[in-house]
Amino acid sequence: MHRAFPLIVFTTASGAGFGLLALAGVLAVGGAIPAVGLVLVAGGLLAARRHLGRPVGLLRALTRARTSWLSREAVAAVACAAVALGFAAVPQGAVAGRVLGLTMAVLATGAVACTAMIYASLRPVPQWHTGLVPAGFLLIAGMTGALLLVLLTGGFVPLAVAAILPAGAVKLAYWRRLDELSASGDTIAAAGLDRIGRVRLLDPPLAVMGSALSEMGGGVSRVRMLRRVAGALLFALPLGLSLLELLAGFSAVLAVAAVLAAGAGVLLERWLFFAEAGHIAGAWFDAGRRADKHA
Amino acid sequence: MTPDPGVSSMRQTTCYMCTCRCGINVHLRDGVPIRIEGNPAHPKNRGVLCGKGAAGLQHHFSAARLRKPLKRVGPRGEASFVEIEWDEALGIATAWLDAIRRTDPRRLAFFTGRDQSQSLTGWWAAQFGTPNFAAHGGLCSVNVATAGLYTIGGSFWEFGEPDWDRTKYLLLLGVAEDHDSNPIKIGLGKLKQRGAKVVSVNPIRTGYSAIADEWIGIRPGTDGALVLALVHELLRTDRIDLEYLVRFTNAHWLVVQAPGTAEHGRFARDAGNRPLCWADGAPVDAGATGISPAVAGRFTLPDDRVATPVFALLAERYLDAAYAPEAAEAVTGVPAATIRRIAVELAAVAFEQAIELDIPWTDTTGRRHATTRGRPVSMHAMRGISAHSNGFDTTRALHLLQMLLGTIDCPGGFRFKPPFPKPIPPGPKPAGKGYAPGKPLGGMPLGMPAGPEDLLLEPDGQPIRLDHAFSWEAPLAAHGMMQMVIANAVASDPYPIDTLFLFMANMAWNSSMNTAGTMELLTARDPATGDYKIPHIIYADAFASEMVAYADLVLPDTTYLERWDCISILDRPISDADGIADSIRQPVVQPERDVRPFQDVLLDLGVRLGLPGLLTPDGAPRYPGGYADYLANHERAPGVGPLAGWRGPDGSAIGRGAPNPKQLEAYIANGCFWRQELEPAHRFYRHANAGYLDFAVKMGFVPNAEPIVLQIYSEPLQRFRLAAQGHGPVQPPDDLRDRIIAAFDPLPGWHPPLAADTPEFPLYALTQRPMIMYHSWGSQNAWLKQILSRNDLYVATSTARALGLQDGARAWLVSAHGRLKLRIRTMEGVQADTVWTWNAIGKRAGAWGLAADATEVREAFLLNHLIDDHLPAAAGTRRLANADPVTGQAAWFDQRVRLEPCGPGEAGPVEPQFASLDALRRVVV
Amino acid sequence: MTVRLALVIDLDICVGCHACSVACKGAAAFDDSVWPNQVFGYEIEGGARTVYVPRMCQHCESPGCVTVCPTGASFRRTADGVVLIDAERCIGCRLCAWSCPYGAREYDAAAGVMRKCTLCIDRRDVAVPACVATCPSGARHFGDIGDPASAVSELVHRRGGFALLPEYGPAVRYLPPRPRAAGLPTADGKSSGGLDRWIGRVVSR
Repeated sequence: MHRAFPLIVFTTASGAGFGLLALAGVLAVGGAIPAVGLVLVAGGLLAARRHLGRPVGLLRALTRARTSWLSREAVAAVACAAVALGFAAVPQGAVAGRVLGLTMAVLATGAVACTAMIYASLRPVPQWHTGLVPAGFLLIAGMTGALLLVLLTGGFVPLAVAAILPAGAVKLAYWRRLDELSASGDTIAAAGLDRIGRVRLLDPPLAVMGSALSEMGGGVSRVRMLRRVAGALLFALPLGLSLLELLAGFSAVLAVAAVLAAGAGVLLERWLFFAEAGHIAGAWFDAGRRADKHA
Repeated sequence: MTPDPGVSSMRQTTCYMCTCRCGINVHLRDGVPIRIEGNPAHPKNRGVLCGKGAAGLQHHFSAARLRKPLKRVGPRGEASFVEIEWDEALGIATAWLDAIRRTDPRRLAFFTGRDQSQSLTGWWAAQFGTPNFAAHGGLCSVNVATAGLYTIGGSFWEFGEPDWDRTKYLLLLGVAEDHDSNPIKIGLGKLKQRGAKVVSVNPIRTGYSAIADEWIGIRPGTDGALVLALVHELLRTDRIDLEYLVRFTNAHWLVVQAPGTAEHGRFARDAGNRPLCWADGAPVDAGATGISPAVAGRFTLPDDRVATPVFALLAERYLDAAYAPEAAEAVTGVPAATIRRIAVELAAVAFEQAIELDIPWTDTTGRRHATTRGRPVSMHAMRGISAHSNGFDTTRALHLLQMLLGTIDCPGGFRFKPPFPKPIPPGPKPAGKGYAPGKPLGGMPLGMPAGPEDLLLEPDGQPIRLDHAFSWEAPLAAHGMMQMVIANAVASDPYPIDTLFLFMANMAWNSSMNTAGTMELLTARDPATGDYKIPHIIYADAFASEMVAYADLVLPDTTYLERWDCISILDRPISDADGIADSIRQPVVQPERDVRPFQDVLLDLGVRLGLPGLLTPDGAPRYPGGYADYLANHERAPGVGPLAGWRGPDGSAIGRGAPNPKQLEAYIANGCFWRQELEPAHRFYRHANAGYLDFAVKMGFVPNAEPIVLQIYSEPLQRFRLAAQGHGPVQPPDDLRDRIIAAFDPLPGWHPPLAADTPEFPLYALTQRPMIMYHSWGSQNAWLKQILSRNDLYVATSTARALGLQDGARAWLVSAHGRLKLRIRTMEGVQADTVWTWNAIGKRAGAWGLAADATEVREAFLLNHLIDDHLPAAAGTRRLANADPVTGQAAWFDQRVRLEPCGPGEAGPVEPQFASLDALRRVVV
Repeated sequence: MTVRLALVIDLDICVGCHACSVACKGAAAFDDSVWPNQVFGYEIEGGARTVYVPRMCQHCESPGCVTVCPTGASFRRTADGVVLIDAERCIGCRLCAWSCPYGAREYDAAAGVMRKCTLCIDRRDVAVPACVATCPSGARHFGDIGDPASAVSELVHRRGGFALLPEYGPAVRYLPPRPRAAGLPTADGKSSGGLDRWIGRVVSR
């Protein structure tokens, strides 16, 4: 699972953390809840730091929010964390608490949105270049946060149920779009190589492909099976468990199970997110060698 | 060019990564090389540098370098060594070699691989007194070199080049990445810029063939049929330069027609032994001027012998339907219409687009020409032609084509590189008779026989040489037959040896056919005594190659940046058509490990052995300063040394002059090269250019200023044929007569390759040199191996499909000799019956210090495993080398194979795999 | 008219020798594993041709790599359009590699930063990039395509040079392989008779 492992952990953990913080802020739930959220966010950020080749100048990542979604995400994350500390410190019920809470919710939502836009803004990765990505990130962050909220508070089960359904729908739509792209894609044209002709690789430039793009793509075997497992773990199981809780009342066991299933599911979902992404420059290597519709 | 700030120095030298010998600038910081670039002032490359040269530092710093002399302590072949000091190493070598020299010098077999100092190593072998020396030409491209020297007095690449600046049509045959790497690329760039047509005849469409205007995907080994069909067409349509033929070739010489006699096929000569022609109703000196000799007809000489001109013989032969394009199509797979069209194009360019240069010149008849006319068709042929058992005649056919079009040494055509042209064939003959203990050979071991009397044979007819070169098995083996040395030594054929001394030749791997078999031969023991059949193996190399593991004594060499060297006119020059040039290498850095330049080691050994040429009359070393001393002070002939520039006490002489102690300094100051431009009047038609030939005599290139008459008809070949027919005192063995009669044809013929054509092995297996590795030492280069560390077999898509093979599928490649497991790649640009791969990518685990799971070990293979070094032989008959019967050229590309899918359980690495030479990892830096 | 430095690659002449790739490494002193220039070999058009295509940073007009870079390490010089990496600012997040449609950015694992073609702009001792100087067949050119009168602009115009993915505004131009000229007509190539035609032919020497 070498592909972008730190990023998988970062986006899922901090996604859930931001989701929890957003809900806590909107619902004015304090105490341990924002603390848990902060821990998840911090853990995620630490994981992300492991992705960096040269983290020594890390603070500079805050300086290009004018153009860079990554920079914006960093700014939003730091701001959210600062506000969250304040929110956690201030007694609940106070106006300040309310203001901080809502601010925290906005910043948390913004952080997740910026994270998603890092990927969705990349034109050269057609799989990601869709509004379904920010939608999916936000909804999954929301639903994982909601499941954590249920576990930590013993309540808000209908909220969790309501969060899971749209998240699942968006994810299914995303996967359907991936299938459409595979079926219809002209990878040679996407890379611009059709200007040279309908190319088929004879000799690669290097015997081993370079490292910068090796974190994505490369094909996934048994995709359908993995998607089903991810869908089951991330959506179906937590939905079922939450519905059970709705009917039978809160159960710590069921809530833990739901969180664990969703946790495993979201890691797999995110792994698939990176693994099923292709970069158009990949066509320099494999155009004409796979089942390419227009080749 | 000012150096970067921080770079402390720049030193110039010569690259070694192929046989181009480009000039390079090596940038150093604090004495450590940091970058290599091309030298803009160098005549070879003019500032450009190919990928190999630009990666030279990774070669120089390779992790695979040896670091100290080694002595074997365990069984041979396991790389089980102890490190020893140089004194001990040289003492061991001296003891072995001295014992040989005192008893039977033939027992030293001294062969060099990618050696660029053959002028020294051959001379050393001659001083030692062993006839058993050659470099690697027998397994490289001796066919192309020798065919040229016996036909036109020069050859493709080594001694000639296309007129890159003026040619309008270039025909390439069998050319992939080639010896002359950068000049060819530079030249092709020029041709493309000015719209000259490039036609590439090659079964494979990569590299130069990819950018050619026309690619002709010919069936391997059949180019001779194509070329002679072109000859047929030119004759049929009378599109030939008859005047050129009569003035510069032996087309008008009279050939005696007396079948059954010793005279048949010999030139008719006058009392002064000068060849005759027929003019004005009488036999006349063929070299006379002001005559109109007959080119056809049969004439009766005064002594009643009948004779006919060479041209009549060639016209009769090649006008026959057997050489028509339709016949060639059946053999080559090239459509007859294409062949006819190429002939039309060649003639149209040669005749209708002829050029005239404003350069007056005088020919050897005294006739003065106001201008220099050029027929701007050029050709180049290399390994794809050479590495076949018919490559000698294919090349001769190509030269015939050039002569018919009048394009030898004219503007826009093929041009000689000085010191060529030389007499046909050039002297000297190979030395080797009269070997005796303690006695130098009396000449160089390699040479050019002119007839059976020049063969190196014992009185009982056995070959004198271990490799059977210059025997009836390979009479014109002008570059020796290194590929047969190990097998013959183990078979004691014709005799056992004591020491095999190899330099820079990976015979235990990619430089041998029958690789697995060769590895076993190197460790073969005499069942009676338990000793190795080859008692001693000394190996010199810079890197821990597979061959190192089979040595008893390893003499570690420096890299090319750490030594003196010379690229001499006495060897393969770096001249171009317009100028004579030679060059040196200088040490840019000193090695930090305990290695010594091989040339210095050789000279040291020579002194220890007391070789006469290496000692002064009082017995002191003649070249105490080592190779640098030798370069400046050695005289091969009076006033002629390895380097031609800055000779004489004041450095003002060229070619001939007393040794100049400051000669090397002068070279270094000039970028490590010397070049003397020829006067414009001396640049063309040099085989008949009076001014040039006078100059060539002064320089010591040719013995006299006689015109060099191009030999369409080769009398030396006829002499060998006559002997096989029973004439003359030197007779071949009876079992070789038919083979010699067939192969030794005074006119080039079409000979199908010797490999059997059976349905069992319907495909042809070839290799190509990749442009990034050329010689087989790219994979220890940390940069180059990233580009190419694995190889697959390329197969025509249609052929693969018919066999049920997908792109990337695993398959078995099977020959009569072995089988390989590999992966295939499908491609379109390959002749349908041809499969091919890149040369020498696969390595054995341990070599270069490679781990057992290295890509080069697990995913790269050698085609060599499939190739037998002998032709199949019925029981009790003579085993012949898998080679051209004329020159002994290893016939790598005659190989026939079939392809089979792998079974479901047959995954895993390529096969065969060999035990890892783990111990080699301990002997590298 | 702003200066726009660019490479022009002649696909009709490139023989796929990798000299440019290696010379670039020699000039740039990046980690061994980094190859800013890479040469791909292709068969095209149903097998009619083999073409070699060098790939390197295209020095885009609006480079995505500059947009996404969070630290400002990736930047474009307005004076000449050259896109560069300030290794001091780079944190090695590799997002720029994903944003480059040409796959032209390499990760230097030893230094932890991104690398790419710099057009040798930092080397003051040379007039042209190393890859251009070293190309043995003359398939690479360098100059200002912002100037319509420059040699490279004229070359691009004459040969119909094109950009890959022009929507990204690359500066590099590729010259297409020239169409193969038709061979000469065979005509009827008249036979001029047999051997006899040379009997009595007068050719003097």
